[in-house]
Amino acid sequence: MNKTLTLLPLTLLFTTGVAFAQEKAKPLPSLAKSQARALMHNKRVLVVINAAGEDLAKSLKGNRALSRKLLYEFETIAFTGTAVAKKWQWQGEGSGVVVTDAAGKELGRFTEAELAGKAALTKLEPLFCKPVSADKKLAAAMVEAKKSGRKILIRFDAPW
Amino acid sequence: MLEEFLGQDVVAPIYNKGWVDVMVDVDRDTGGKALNDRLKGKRSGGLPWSVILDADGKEIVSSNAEPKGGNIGGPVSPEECAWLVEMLKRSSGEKVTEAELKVVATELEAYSKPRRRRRR
Repeated sequence: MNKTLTLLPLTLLFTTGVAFAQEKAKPLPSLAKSQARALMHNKRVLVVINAAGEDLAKSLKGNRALSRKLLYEFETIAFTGTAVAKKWQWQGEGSGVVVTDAAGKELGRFTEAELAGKAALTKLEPLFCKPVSADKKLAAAMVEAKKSGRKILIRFDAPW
Repeated sequence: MLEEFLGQDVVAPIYNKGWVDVMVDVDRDTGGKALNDRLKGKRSGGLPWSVILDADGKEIVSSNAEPKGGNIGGPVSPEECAWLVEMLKRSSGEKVTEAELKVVATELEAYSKPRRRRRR
């Protein structure tokens, strides 16, 4: 009994610590969806951090140099609020973006000013995913289907 | 639309049991359009277009609904939804049960119905 009581605080500390670690590692639900879509479509995730009253995602979509590429190359997700800015360690006072891969690894970050006009494409283009081969996708799926005894459902689509 | 449906919590485990999912972007994937043209041949319909193959790459069924042959695309209407379920039924093999296919059909109806109203 005494032994159990002695171990109780340690056990609680350990389980709380694990729970906290798990919670911390769990991405925001909408972000997880964007990451899953980015993985499926060979895209990057563009996390837009809006300053209060601003809509940078809308401005970027309205940028003629960038709008089409934005649709083709990124899963865009926009957040507003200091808690989100803190999560992404966003130090800037205004709005900005963080570019990540589908696994959440940060690849770059830019302020709104850095993404003005044609500069937006110049900054973001080096971060685009490399194209993948459709034939290689099918070949990999055939290997997987043979291994698992499943069929293959191929969906052909386009970003537009 | 189809991707969103197949990724739903109830549907995804059933779908992943029976099928390997491949998404081909005809604009961005290298050789995507060529693969689409090769598998689709002269059949009608634009994008999205889908086809189910066996593990050797042989076609089992496509999104061109029989008997008329129109592409169901991202299924919304009752006829389009019925054809998607038929596609899954024809290719499910032993991996997916009749009861699981019924679950998919019920979920598809629930998913598509509000979208039908919006279309009208």
